[in-house]
Amino acid sequence: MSLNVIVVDDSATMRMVIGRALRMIGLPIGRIDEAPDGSAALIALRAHPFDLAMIDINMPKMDGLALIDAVSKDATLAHVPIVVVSTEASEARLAALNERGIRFVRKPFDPEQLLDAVVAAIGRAP
Amino acid sequence: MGEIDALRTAVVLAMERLCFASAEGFADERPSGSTIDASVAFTGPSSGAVGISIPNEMLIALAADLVPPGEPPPDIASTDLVAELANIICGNVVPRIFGRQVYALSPPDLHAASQPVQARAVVMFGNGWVEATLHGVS
Repeated sequence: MSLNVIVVDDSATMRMVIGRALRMIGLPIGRIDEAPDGSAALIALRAHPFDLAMIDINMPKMDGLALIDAVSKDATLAHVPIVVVSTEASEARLAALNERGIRFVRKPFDPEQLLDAVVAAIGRAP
Repeated sequence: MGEIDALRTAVVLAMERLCFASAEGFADERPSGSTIDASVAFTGPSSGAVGISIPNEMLIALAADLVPPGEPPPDIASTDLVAELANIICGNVVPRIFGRQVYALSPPDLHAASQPVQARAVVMFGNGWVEATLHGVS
């Protein structure tokens, strides 16, 4: 079964780079939707089923941490695996994500790092 | 890590992984020519800004390699790319210099940082160069 993914980042360049990397790493990727902020992503997540969400932290309107909170509190979305893709480097924030079972990839990433995080998030290898 | 080494490392990593561009060396001063600039401010236990400058022609070529023709238009792709590079480079410079504490990064500003330059690194590539600067740390 192919994975439908939503990529949430305020940079169009980064959304495209993440989408391209996802198609390079050997996973069965289906549809890739994009959203420029957390608010748009939440609307998309409630409108369509997704198997994976790739989420940046620093974004306008609704940032990634607020989006993750909203997803985790929504019973219809809480099952969606999340990978955070961000420049975030603080040990405290990364530990907090790890405690919630959220995988993290630091920008700039290489495809292997992305693959490892996605596989860990969805719980299956290519 | 020292400030110049941190700036160099962040530029090399960002350009290699985002733009597939390999560094060919370092320079002490930036070559002449018009550039597109961007900066990102950081606040936390220390505060300041990281700026980057990229020659116009190089940035347009990098954006054209990344983005399918016409989607988005090249000028938007170029400014989005330089903004994201500034964000990534700042996000990688700050922990290398100041440690992995909690910092907030501002949205990228498409202007050079206004504070005095504290450290500067110029990284050379086959089709141009990238200058990264650290500003006004307090």
